[in-house]
Amino acid sequence: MASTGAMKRPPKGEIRVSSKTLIHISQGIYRSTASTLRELVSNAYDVDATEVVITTNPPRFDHVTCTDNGAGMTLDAFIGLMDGGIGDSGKRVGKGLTAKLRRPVIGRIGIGLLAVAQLSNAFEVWSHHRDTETAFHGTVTLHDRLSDEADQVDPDTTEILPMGEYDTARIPFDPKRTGTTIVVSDVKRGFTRKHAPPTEFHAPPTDFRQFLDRCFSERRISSLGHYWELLWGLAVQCPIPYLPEGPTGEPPALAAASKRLNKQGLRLVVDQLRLWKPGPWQRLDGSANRNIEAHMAPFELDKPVAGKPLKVSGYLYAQNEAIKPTERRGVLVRIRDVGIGGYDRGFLDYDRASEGPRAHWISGELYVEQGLENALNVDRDSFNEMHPHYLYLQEQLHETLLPLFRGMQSGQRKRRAREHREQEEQSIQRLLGAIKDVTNVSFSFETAADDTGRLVRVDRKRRKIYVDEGAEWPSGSATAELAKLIAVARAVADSEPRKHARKRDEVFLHLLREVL
Amino acid sequence: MAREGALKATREDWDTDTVKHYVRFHGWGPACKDRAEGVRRAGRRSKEPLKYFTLCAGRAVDVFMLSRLGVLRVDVETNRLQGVCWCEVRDNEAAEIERSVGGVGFRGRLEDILLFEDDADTRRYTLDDEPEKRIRRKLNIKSLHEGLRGRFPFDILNLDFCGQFFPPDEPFSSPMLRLIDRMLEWQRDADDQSCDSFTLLLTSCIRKRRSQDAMAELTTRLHGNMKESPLFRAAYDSAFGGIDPQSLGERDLPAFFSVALPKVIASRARERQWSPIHKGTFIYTKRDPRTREFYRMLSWVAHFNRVTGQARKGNQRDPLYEKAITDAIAHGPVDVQKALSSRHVKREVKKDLDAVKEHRGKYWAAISGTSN
Repeated sequence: MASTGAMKRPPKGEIRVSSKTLIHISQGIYRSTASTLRELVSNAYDVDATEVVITTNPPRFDHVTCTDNGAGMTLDAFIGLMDGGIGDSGKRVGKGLTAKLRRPVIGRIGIGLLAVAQLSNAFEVWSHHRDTETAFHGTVTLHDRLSDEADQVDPDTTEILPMGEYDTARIPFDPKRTGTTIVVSDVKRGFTRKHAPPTEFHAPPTDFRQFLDRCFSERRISSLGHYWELLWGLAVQCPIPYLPEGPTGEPPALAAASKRLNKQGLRLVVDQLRLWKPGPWQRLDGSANRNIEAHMAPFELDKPVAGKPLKVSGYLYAQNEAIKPTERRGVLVRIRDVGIGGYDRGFLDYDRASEGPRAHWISGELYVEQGLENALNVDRDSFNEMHPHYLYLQEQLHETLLPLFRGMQSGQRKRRAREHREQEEQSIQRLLGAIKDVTNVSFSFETAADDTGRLVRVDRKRRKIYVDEGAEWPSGSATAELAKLIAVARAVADSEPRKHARKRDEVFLHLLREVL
Repeated sequence: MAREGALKATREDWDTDTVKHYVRFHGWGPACKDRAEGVRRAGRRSKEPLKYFTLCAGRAVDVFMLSRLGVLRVDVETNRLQGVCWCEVRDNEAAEIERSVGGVGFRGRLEDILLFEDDADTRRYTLDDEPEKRIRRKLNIKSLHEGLRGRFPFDILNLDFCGQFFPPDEPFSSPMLRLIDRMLEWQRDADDQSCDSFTLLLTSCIRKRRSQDAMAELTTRLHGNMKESPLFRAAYDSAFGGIDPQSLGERDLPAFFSVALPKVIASRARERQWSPIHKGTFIYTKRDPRTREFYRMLSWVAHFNRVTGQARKGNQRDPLYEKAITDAIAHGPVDVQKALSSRHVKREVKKDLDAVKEHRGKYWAAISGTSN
């Protein structure tokens, strides 16, 4: 660059973002279909919808519709969005609560509608606006290969890039149809291919409990197919009530979240299946009959970080077996009751390696009441891991996890020891039963050392078998146990009269079989 | 940009329409029950759900009537209606069907889907190639065409069209007629050859503006039938007091079509190895909400049985075909509005419609906790 003079001040000015950026964003920021559809649900939530119905036309998966019964949108608002208003939302202006139900507004920058662009290049909108009693029908067609086109444009010469065309028409307002319907046609091939099964399609049941039973019977939900994963993802991420089952009141954060979501009362139906949020009490072990030890650890955090409040509450559920399905392992962070991605099996980058399989035993939810939103990436699926709020939450979570894991480790040891004792007792009882069978004598064990110096001595008169626990038995508790039982078998056999050598060997072999 | 008033409300309230329900109650219901019993008696498919193709509206009264009658079943494991396949071109209506019925949906114009023919573009590309929009649109129709073909055969085809078979400026062999031909062929040629019989519920409208070519062709064909079949001639004479189809067409268009349409369909069916059994014809009047013009609707109900051996063509006499056509004449069309002028009949139909709606409400409540 040519010098313009030694003393001249270098230029300064506003930093601008090219509209190319928005085009690239529109073409794919969401990791999964569930996240894409979650954005449409969040949009409906923000306009006070109490019901959102999504259809995907299984097993063809060639259309997607999303219908809500919210306040609807005016034609002017729609045109405003199309004429450059995407990504320029005023949703959070004011108290950040919705007009009618006073819900905390989820959307911040108004790109939710762009989620549709990830599914298709064409969609239609019907909206009946409650307050103005007007309605319209809009058709939106986006250009093919937008990202490629955007890359070809010289940013110095073009400020606004057309993304596509839209057309609108006013239609008669129907108060019964208040709300918005979005119909996505010409669905991208990837969506259809991902969800349409190569062989016969197995529709999930319309009862969510049955749906969960099926999910929990598998190690991974993904093994049931991407469509089941999509339903699971929506159930986990959307701000809908918990399935009304299980204990209430504990832990407090969960009870509060459950109460809040019930009050907000958003009903989400996907292809005739009403979705609920699965609570921690719903059979995390994958089997209703197992006797599993479980406990809940509360999580509380309320502290200003980097000058801004950070308030998070939640719970960590721990059990002494691996949680099934795997999609439920880890911790799920919820901001404004919307799940950020799925359950994070890495516990916000905790050193899981040292925990081994115990890392599969915890499932938790963290409800962010204040803060952390600025750490949220645009996809609402992940965090900026350098943001002070994220770093502090991470630190606090790991501090809570450490004693939980240690407790689990100690519990695991105790459980193993108890199981070992139980097994030992069973072996002894089995051997005593076998001894009674061959000698007709009911013996009992004494662990005291015998003054004869023998490892095992059988006293037929007193009906006692003395085992010298202090002797140098082979190392390793299981081996030592086996050695003792074999020694007992030998001693019992040897206690038979000497003249019956054959019988002594037979008794020994019989008892040995029992021991082994 | 906004086009004021470009779309008007044209939705019909099928939930309160007793005229339409009269046809369902007296025509479709009994015929479909017959079909269900026939399939179950046959044994081979006694445990499989019946396969039902419909052009139903969003609230799907026909589907829930058949469900209430036990013709369509709900899967005990998934609680979903089984065997329903539908086609709808209007996106928001299709969304409502998906929401209320589920089933397998084909979104598009039925004519476009069924009559799709490969061209250079659709032979060259697949959807995976992500071709331009124009080609993608054709490939989407191809995908619907192949998908729908794979669903054939059906036990019941409910072709409740809102258009007319012979619209003005169309040749005799109109797209709707060719669509019926294609369906009859797909019923016959389905891979598993499992369909020996099926039921057709065919509805179309009759308007004053129609194809004159088609009228002439239909008149000629009816004349021909009368020449060939004394039975047909006698039935026609007895029903209409003469044997001049042209004058009947001018005098009483619905009566003319109540004979001509079943005759044309039956004739094309026998060429495709299907023999019809007439079960009833219904005629009723409707009013176009946009033009306020009155028009008539014709609904024909028939069973079709597979004919083994060579298909009959042209002038070959066919007693079953003759019987079906003479039955259509002899039993005449039911004038639905006239039948409903009886309070007792109207009460009976309304009661059934209410029962269907209640049944539907229970189904909706069971699947998603809503009954609206």
